[in-house]
Amino acid sequence: MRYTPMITLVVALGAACSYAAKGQQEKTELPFAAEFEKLKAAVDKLEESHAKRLGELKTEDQKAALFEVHIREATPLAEKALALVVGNAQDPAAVEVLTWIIDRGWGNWESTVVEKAADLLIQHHLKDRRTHNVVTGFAHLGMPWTEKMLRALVAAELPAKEHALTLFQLAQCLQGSAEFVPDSKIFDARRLKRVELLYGKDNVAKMRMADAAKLEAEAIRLFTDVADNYGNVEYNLKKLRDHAASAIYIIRNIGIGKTAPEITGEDIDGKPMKLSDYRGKVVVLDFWGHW
Amino acid sequence: MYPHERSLVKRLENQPFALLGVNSDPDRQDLKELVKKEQITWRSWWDGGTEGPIANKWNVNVRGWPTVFVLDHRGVIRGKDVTGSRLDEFVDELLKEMKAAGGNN
Repeated sequence: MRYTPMITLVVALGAACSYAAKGQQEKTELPFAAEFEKLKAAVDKLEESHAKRLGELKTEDQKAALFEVHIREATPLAEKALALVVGNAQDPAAVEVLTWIIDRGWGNWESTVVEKAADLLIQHHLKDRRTHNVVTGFAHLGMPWTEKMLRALVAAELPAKEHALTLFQLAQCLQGSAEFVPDSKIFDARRLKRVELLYGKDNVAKMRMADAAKLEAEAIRLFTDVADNYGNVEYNLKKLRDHAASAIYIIRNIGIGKTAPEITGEDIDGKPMKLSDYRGKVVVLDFWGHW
Repeated sequence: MYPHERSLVKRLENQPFALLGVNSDPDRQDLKELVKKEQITWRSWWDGGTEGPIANKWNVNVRGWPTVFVLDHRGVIRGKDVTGSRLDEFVDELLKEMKAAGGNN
């Protein structure tokens, strides 16, 4: 009899604990977690099997054809992942799926799926740190969805340091769009096809027609703004002031149609070597490394 | 990579053409052995690492490795990221253009 309250208490506590644990589990685990894990595994498997086949192919045409097959087969998997969250995109749990669609999209699926995921992040999760993180690695490619997302992030006025990075990345994005205009003029049919698969056919058509001078001017303006107002912010081991200065230098000097700046230094054996010694010759400048 | 470059250099050995590398390996001694082993006959600047001054100046640290630029005989940048058989074609076009223009400058 004496022990009854004790037992009751233990039972009650136990019940409360298990209830709390259950509640917590439901909160952190995505309702569609199992399905999402299956899709992720299917993408990994597809990538692995195509990478293996790629290694066995000899000609560039065969490799290009396999790339097309890969995109065609991987795209429905990303579409299924998108369908898991599309009716409930405002849920914080959706961010993990949406950022995964973007993060793994390059070279895996059609850009339209990535663009839909980007739109949902802009609409519902602009201030979630993961939204900014996921666009970071794509900024310099200058694709329309990255520009849209970065402009939204800039307008969202995140805390000062993060805001500085969004400005800097928007400038990088515009620099990338500006470079794309002359770069894409020398594409042969195979390269054009590949870039269309990576960027999206409609995007490529639009990007080729862009006004490169106008894009360069806005990029320089933004880089200048970053250097003047956020120059001391550290990013990838350097200050934004230095990043911005080298980006402006690159816009002005390194690009199709610009005269290559002099390169001086030493060769592998320590002998002096300079680019201007090769004037009068067609030069392939190959940046390489064995690491 | 190296076999294609070797054949390009061999094919154009009597032409006004040069393949120049900018190498980003941190260890120069290992690199010297690699050059011998892979029969890399063309010259490279040694940039000291992936954040070397030449790579930084040419934006390669952002664009990623490997990257190729093609310069015409006047030193104007004409191509970027040109690879595979397209690189051969592209260089041939620039050589033809140079001859049509009457050689130097």
